[in-house]
Amino acid sequence: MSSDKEKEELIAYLDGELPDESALRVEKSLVDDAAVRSDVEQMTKTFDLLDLLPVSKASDGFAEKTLTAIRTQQSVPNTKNTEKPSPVEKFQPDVSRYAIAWGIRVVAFLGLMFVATAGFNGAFKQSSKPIDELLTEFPVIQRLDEYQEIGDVEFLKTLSESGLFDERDKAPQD
Amino acid sequence: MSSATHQIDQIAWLRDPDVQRMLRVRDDDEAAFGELVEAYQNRLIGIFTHVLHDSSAAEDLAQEAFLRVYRARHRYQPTAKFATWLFRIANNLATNRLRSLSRRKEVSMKGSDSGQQSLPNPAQLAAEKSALMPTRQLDNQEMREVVRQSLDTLNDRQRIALLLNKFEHMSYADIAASMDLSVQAVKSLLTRARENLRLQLEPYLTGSPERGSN
Repeated sequence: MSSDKEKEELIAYLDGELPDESALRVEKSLVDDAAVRSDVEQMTKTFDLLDLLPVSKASDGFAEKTLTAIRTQQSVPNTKNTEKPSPVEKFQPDVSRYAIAWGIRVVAFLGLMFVATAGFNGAFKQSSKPIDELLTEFPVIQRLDEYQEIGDVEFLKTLSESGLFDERDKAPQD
Repeated sequence: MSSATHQIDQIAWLRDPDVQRMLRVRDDDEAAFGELVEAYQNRLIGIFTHVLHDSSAAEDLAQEAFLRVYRARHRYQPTAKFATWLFRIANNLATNRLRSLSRRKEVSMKGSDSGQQSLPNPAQLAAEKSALMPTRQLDNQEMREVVRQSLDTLNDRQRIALLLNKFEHMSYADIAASMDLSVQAVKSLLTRARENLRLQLEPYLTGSPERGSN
């Protein structure tokens, strides 16, 4: 029995697919080897048995039905197909692609709006901080001129500890 | 592929009368499209019928193949023989259909890696008709059924490659282009397909071992 490689060569020889050099080698083996001849004979006979298979023909009006289907599709350009489109073809636009494109645009717009809103809120919060600080420190701001005359807090402490301005402890002078 | 080789191939393809028809279809010549349908309808339906075992489904798929050709007409570029392109579309449709049928388990596809299954015992088949009837005298209808069943023992790719090889007389290169395979892969597929076919049908050629001499 021939090996797989030999069988491959035999079949390619029968199909006329071998280059000349390989074909000559096969022909020599056919002359020299009865087993190879038997293999070829069996393969040829069984291959020819496929001719017994029934020949199918298109039903009457198939061509016309096909042309009608085309005309129908042309009048309704976005007719949906049930079969997966072949990768060999370059696809024409259809409804699903428009829907996807518009869906992407809507999502992008909503995303932009979200970002814009978040940015505005963030910016608003940032700008409100100084106002809050001003409100908290308003009592200081009201007396800022006086505090500036005083200078620093250490000086105030020193004055307070000196007792110079402590009127409660002093006895009234007659 | 060198540019000169590519140009030579392009010229060869342009000589294909069906490529010329398709170029007219590209220019919205409906009559040319009708000619292509007439030329290929039986061939397509024949392949699909052998693959699907359903003539109605075969016609549906053939029509779908033609519709795809027509829809792609404005983008058509003659880079191969028209038949190669058409049967590539057909192969994709058949493969998709077989896959969905297999998932729905409407058709039992039991292809193994070798794509081989066993057929009824030929001796038993002959004995059912008559103990004295030689296997080789099975009538054409019976042999046709035996051949059909043996074809079904092949897996999908083996079967399609074999049908294109046998009934479309396609070269290995054209089968490779139609099935999106390498030429070597096609060689291997066809070798396994024909070897499996031989193993299944050989007993019907040589006769039952129990058959007595005439």
